Amino acid sequence: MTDGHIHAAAAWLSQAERDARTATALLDQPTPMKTDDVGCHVASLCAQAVEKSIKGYVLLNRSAPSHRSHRADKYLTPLLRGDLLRYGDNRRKLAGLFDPSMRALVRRLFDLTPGVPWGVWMCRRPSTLGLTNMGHRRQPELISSQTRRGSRSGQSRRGASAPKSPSSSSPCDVSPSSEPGPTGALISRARSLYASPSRATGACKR
Amino acid sequence: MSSQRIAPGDRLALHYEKVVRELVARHAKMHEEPLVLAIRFRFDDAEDIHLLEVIEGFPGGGDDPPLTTEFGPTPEFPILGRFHLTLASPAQLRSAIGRSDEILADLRRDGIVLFPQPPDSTAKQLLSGLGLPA
Repeated sequence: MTDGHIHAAAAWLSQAERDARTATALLDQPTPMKTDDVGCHVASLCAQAVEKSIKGYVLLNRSAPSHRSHRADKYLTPLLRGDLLRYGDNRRKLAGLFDPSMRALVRRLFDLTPGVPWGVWMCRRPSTLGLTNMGHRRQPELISSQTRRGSRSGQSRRGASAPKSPSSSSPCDVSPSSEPGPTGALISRARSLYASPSRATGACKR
Repeated sequence: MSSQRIAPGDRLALHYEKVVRELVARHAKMHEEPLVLAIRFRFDDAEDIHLLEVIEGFPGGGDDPPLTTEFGPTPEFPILGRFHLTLASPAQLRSAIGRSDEILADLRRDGIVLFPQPPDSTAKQLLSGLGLPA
């Protein structure tokens, strides 16, 4: 393996660790963040951490990740087949790390961070996201309002906000205190995934 | 034919033919994300291998462009050059056909279906969209 590949991979993996640390810190809702600010940013940072980890491994494998696609879970398909792995003994480790349930969670994580305001995305894809299991209530009024305003003014993904009643929960609410559901489990898995960064960088030692 | 009569370039082509068919045969046995269609193309690239695999359940939205990524040689896939693997779900390939993505010209020029043989109805439909014979 060339030094260039190792250095390039190390940069991706280091940034993935930073993203994961930042996501973990955000879960504590630091000042001046409000509860509703937390969820989408944690999910977004988790998605960034997963994307950069996988792309870092792709580079360690002396492959070329595409900068055009953020859906890094697409690389799992060829990597998990094993015959394109430069280091064959990584096959079992990868298969263990990305078992079917983890792959489903990763896919769901990327689905949750599509690059448009969550309210707009949920309005478009309610059945795909399984909203009834999200641990929060939908707000049709809020979603339709965001959709209308977003489509007119081309708001950024984080620019959407709308008035809400104190008792309501927004589509962004995945705070630590919220009911454990698939999203909470996802974040827990993501946190444990990055608890031992050496697992992802094992190929460096070869 | 004796192996001594085969030119080095032809020997490499024969080796590539063998390893690609073996790779596709292995992938065709995958139950998770099953292989729907495999087309080898860009035979003018003597050292590299270009392969399109259409996979049921491949991640991403139906409008996503096919993902092309490169791999180097591995113990199970020994080649001299690079392996350019393009992956798409059936919906993503249909979208690419609808957009006339750049890769389609290469596929239409010299694409050869490696899987399934003979093509099933889904493969025939995709091949028809690509303008390739079933």
